[in-house]
Amino acid sequence: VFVYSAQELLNQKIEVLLPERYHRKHADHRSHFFADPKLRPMGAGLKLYGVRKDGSEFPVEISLSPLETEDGLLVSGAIRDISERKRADEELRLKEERFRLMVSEIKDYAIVMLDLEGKVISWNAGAERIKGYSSEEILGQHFSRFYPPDDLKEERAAAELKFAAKEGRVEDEGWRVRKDGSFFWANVVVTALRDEGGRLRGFVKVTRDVSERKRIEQELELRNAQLLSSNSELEAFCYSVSHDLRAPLRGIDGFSQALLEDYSGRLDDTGKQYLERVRLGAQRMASLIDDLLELSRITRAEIQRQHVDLSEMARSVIHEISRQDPSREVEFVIAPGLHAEVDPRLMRTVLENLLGNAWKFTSRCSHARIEFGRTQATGLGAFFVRDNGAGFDLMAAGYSVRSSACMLQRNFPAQGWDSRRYSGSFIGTEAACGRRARLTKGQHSFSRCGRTWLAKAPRLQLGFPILLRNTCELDGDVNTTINLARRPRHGKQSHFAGRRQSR
Amino acid sequence: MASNPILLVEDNPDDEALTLRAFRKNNVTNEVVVARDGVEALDYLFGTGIYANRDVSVSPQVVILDLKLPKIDGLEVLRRLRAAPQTKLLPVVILTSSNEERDRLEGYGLGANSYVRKPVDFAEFLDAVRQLGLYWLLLNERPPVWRKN
Repeated sequence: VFVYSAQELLNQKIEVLLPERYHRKHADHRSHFFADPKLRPMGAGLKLYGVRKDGSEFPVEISLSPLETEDGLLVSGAIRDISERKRADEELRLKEERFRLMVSEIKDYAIVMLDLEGKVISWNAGAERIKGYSSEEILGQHFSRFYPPDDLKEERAAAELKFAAKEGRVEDEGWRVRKDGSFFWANVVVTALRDEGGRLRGFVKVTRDVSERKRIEQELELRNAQLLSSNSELEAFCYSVSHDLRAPLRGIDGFSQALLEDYSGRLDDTGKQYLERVRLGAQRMASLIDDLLELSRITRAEIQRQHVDLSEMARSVIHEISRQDPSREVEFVIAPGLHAEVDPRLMRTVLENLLGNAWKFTSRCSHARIEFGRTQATGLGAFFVRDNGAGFDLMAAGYSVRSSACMLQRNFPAQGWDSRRYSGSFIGTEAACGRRARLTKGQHSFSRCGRTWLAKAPRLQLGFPILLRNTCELDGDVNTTINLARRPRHGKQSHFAGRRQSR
Repeated sequence: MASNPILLVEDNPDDEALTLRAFRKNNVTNEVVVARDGVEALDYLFGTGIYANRDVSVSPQVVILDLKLPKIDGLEVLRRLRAAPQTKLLPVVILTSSNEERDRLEGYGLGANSYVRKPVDFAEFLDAVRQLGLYWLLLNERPPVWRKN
């Protein structure tokens, strides 16, 4: 320990081994000790140092035992170098200090220590920020004062501690009160603290102010409720439209027809023609009402996805469509083996609509060609219906839009897709899973099931003006949702998406 | 053609006139009794109220029932007449503006024999009535008459 050899120290005074500043004092101590020798255990609370042969100092622990011998009183001293232990202690102290500082400086969380009864024994900056008390004000107070004032708050606080003691931990969420009496929505975790022997020493309580989250949740709830109620209002509206709006139309049509039949002798050709026009108007109105109703029905319908062979579905739709006019010669090109997870009923409506439009708008083509297939043109996978019929100019969109459309299959990551880049040339279709037919220019929207764009590339570039894209952003497990494209007013017919042609 | 009357339950006078016209046009000669709300319809069928003196053993060939009716609506009329033994098997055709799925579901669920939507186009309407007449007045064999034992 001291580096000296035994030879070197024999018959030297013990002070050799002490720092020089202690020499005189130590000599006094020594005489006192000999006058009244006591057993002194190791490290009896004194900071003692030894000196090595090279003069370096080090902390020591000394125990002295007086020995009565025949040669008189001797004292045996056991000296231990405690440099190592001192260093370890110091390190621990620093660590604790750092930890304490860290906890006390944390501002986002209130971290509070409670004693066994629930009285506050430590208070950090976060606690001061969130709850408003300074540590001087709150230390020693019971933590039940953070609960909203009601008769049971002591019991609730006690129950919380009891539970934490039993289970190790308890989490709670609820209103808490600040010093100024204001409320905040808190997430609280209380953890029981036990020593090595397993004895309960107290609790640490971590509190977060999650009022903002709570506010958003409540707002969302409110919005949902509003949405539900407006949906059911819409439903009631559609229901009454379905009944009440059609009734007068039947009168207009029926009595016009009665006039034509019963009074035709008194009407000239112009008069009869006028009545025919009245009838046509009523019938067109009726078909518009039907379109609206169908649209609302589609919007309301629950989506039930299943595996669908789209190629097969397209074939069957085409079969029906071409029965309308068997004399027409149209080349149909259907890509084989197209599959998707979709609602078959809605998907069929989509295809009826799109293929029906293609059929209609190729009626003046000498070599009509209608395709159904899959494309990567958008960078993502999409299905498309495409025809070589009359096109439209997007600049006049909303009036003369006519479309071929693509339905995107979201087996493909949509993250890389920058809709803004295309916003100038896109018509977004706001759609609940593409079910809404309202066209809004240059925007996209989120819906229950996905995001839909009705997209237009300049005609010259693609040859086909519109891609209707759809990605399913919200449902991770569902691959495909479907879209409806509306062919807006063109001539006297106006068809909403989802219109079933034959009923 | 069977000679029992037809009970037309219809509150809209336009629709009533058009339906009667359609019957005429299709040479339906049966008497048509018109009930203008649900209560009238039930009174006729059960011989109550304004029809207290009616001989209820003469039951209609077919009941043509609108759904939206004053006082008691069409579905409720249907429910009540299906619950009564003497009208339980009476042929009932729902003829309505609505093609709402829930109306159809409920109509059939309550035991309607047919569900026909009134078309706006009178020519189609005529055709619908012609087919109704053909089926319910000519082809259909009525259920045996219910008798109190």
